[in-house]
Amino acid sequence: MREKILKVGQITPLHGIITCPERSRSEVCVLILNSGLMHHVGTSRISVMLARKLAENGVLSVRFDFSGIGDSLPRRTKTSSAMNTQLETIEVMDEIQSSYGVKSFVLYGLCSGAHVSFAVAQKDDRVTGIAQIDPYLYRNHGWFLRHYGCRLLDLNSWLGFFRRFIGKKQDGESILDHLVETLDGNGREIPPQQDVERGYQIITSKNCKVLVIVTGGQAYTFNHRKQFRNIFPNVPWQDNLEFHYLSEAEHVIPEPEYQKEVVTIIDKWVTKIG
Amino acid sequence: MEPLYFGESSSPLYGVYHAPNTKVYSERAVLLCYPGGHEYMRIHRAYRQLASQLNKIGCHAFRFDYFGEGDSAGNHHEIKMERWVADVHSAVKELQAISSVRYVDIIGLRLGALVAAKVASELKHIKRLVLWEPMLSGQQFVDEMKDHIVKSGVSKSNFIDNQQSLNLNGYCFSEESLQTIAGFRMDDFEWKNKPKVLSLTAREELIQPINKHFESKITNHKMLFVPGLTDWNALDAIGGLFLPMDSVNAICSWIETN
Repeated sequence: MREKILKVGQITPLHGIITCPERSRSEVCVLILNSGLMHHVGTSRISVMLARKLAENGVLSVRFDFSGIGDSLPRRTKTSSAMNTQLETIEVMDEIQSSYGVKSFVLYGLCSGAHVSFAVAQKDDRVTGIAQIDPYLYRNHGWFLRHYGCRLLDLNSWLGFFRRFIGKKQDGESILDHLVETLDGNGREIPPQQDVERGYQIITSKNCKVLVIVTGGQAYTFNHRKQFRNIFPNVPWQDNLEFHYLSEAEHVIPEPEYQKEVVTIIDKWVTKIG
Repeated sequence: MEPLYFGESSSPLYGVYHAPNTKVYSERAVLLCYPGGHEYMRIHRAYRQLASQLNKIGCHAFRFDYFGEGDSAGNHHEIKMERWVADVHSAVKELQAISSVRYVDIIGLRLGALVAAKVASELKHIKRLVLWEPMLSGQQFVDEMKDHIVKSGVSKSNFIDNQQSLNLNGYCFSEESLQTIAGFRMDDFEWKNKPKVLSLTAREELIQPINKHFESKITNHKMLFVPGLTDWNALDAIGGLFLPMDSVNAICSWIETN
């Protein structure tokens, strides 16, 4: 395994690390995307661990910073930051394709990185797989039943409800909070559910593989492993979706056992599809 | 901003060089030593900002990842203080080579301050040393982590395992790592070199012991109280990124005027 500096672009380059295996055994390159403002090392160094594990199994990978994050300087653009991240992902794919001859890519991202992978996979046919941790998720009837079902039998929940009902402020969630769903628990703006469903339809129509891992950090919107397929009933997944629910893991995966599990899941999945 | 790998090819270290914003020759070069574990992730953005501010006052700046941290070789559970000291020596040489500047200043935060102090006490060409939230011994760092686990409760991310490895906020410190950290004490440093020293802390209770430590060792020591983060181990759901601009500005101001 050898790690090298990657620079993409001339005036304000994007910086990253390309991890080259001793012997390449795959025709895909995995692009590891930023999670929010975390730089390319990833939360709990998970991006480094993943890149090195992939290299052990002969897979090339790149972890890099979008402009303005980590070790990449901000660029002057007129487009939105969401659009910039998509364009920069495509720019990195172009560079890797021209320098290494790679024609297909897997995009991996946690949280906002998952959203970028989702957007780019719809636009660029070179993306043959996306690995998403905590992608866009939506509550459904099952979530409400499971979430409130146990609370119906809990006296404290009832007391809290009545306190809120009569206008006394108290820390905690209200039913009203659940009806207004434009931001998720991490403050991210989320698109309408039907738009995301349409996006997955486009992705699967191109036979692009999807790996989804949901953590317990999404409990405010997700609480059952079957929920993911249920919230997107019109996506013809066939064998294109692999799903894992790590209900006890936190959103940024600080738990060593789940770090290993996530790296193993992604590594095996890349090997399978690559 | 110029990222690069340096050091031994068998275990390379990752660093980023920031060139000064002046066209004339600059004689000032500053090495930035990160803290360790989750503190490294929390402060990464602030270090980039600090390097950029140093460039504005005409300094070369170089920040780098120790062995087992960030993009450098090695796993986190393999870290040892002796290796980190060697890494700082290596980074000083790299900065001298890139900048063509002989005299170097070092800034270190938390555990990084302890490592920076060790190297500054040994190398004659270290002129100024900034100790940001310094620890007088690695034992303090280990104790803080253990206290946090006790106070916040054992969880799947924060615990001590059967091999006595300490896991905190996503990072594993092996028993051997903990021993090398705990045994690392500023009292043991022989100050063959006597740089100008600035210490900054947000913890009032540390002012007196830090002052006391330096009064017999370093004549040119300044202590600053800068309000800021006092609990480095409590994180929010997205990792607790921290941008302490008051401290960054205070450091740059001292570097510029000294």
